Amino acid sequence: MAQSDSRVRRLVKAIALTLPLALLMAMMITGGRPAPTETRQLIGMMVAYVFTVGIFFLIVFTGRTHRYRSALFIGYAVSFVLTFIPGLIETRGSMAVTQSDMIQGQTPFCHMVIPTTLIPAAVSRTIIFPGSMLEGFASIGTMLVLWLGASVALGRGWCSWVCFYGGLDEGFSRIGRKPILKNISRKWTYLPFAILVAIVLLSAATLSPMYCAWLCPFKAVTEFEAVTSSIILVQTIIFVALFAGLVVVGPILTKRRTQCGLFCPMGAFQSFTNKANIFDIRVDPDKCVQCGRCETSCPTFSIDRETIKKGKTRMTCTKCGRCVDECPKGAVSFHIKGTPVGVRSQIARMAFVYPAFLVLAIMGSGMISVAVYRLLLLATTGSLVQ
Amino acid sequence: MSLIKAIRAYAWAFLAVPIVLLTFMGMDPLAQLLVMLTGLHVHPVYAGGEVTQVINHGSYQTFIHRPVFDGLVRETDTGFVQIEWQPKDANLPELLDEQIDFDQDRKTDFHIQLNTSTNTTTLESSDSRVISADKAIAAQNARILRVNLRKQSH
Repeated sequence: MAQSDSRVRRLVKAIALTLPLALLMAMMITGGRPAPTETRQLIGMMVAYVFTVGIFFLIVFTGRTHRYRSALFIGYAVSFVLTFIPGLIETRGSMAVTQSDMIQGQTPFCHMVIPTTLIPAAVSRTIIFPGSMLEGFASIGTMLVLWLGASVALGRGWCSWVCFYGGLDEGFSRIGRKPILKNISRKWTYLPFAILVAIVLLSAATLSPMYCAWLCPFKAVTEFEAVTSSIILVQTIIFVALFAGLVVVGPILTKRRTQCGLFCPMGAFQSFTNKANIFDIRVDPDKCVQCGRCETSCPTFSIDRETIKKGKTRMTCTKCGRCVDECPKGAVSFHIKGTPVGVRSQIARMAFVYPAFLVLAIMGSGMISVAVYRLLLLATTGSLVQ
Repeated sequence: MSLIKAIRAYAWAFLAVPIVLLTFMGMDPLAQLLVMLTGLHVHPVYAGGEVTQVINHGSYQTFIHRPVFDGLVRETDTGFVQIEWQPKDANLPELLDEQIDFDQDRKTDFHIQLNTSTNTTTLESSDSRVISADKAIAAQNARILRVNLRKQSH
């Protein structure tokens, strides 16, 4: 009887918390415009809406964060690829960005570039990227606003709730039951910081976004420079090799997000925003039984014996909630800095998950809506592009 | 004291939702405000620098940008000047033939011929600062060309 009461209470709470999100999402997904008349677009929009709202309901109702966030996060990343590439082909004719696109400032700006632009922006108020400040798709100004807002609200939660690439290696990390590579030295977790320093300095010295030009694995599934010289051919081979190694094979072998945890300089840069952000993950030493599940499950190598002793995670924590879900004793919890650890942790969890999910849902639902439309287009016309 | 600290912490935490909503709902005006307040702009190495001369040829116009030698903290030894040819209505002529005075000293710095079918160029330099011309880039009906320069004449 008491169990049934508790279930009803949880259900009422989940509905009460989901309703405002459902209304907000209805507003965001339609953009205040009437529903589309084209059936495939309408189906895409409805699928995206039901999927995102349903995921949020499950997060609140079950009390589990990672499992459901992960489903949406992976769907978002796959949808991004399915949306972006056909979009490029429709507007530009190919995935390749040409000299003409670059010289006209028509290259979409992506958050991965942000660290490399810092020194020139500070010194000469210039952005070293062939994009547009305010015009066109993914302008520099709008991406900077998105990054600033989400970083203030979520810190490095960006990497598990906002980044449209993160879901790709997260998706591959969920293939297979057990990791083949288990013992990865913690020293490798400093590599993203080393890459960050190197690309920031090299980019400032050469006035070229070095990570984009040479190291971004996601070029393999988004856009890349048209191969018109042997240098560009080498760059393209590097992109594909890094994608295969860090986004596909690495996550499958380790069951971790190897690109995000061991390579991504944007992630390393984003770690510093965790210092200023109000949310973190804490471990209650009185409840912890040292089972190590949090350590072995953390996708970004952000929690280990040393940090558990201190009751904290590393600054690289992406607040995905996996350790919170995995802990059998409820010792790991979302936390608001300045409040007692382990007290009202469900309030802290919802205070973080609500804004984090809003960003993921707003970004993700748009992508999923278009991706479903593209798939329906493929099924009905045999092509992903119009 | 800890109570005040906790209240402040919860207040700050609950601000995260309005911050996120403001970010999405006000994205375009906030981006304009950010660009206006910071003065951020695309580096001239990518944008080509400001247009300093416009030459009207009737059916098309030539836009000459300022020479770009912008480095991180000081000017670089080599740079470029960007020239654009834009048709007013239809297409550009088959052959563009232009005398360019990029520093506006009333002396021709180089003579450029551009075949708009092949985008190949012929450059005749009249100034030792002019090094070479890149291949012209087609941008819809327009053509964009960068002519490489060295800073000092030798």
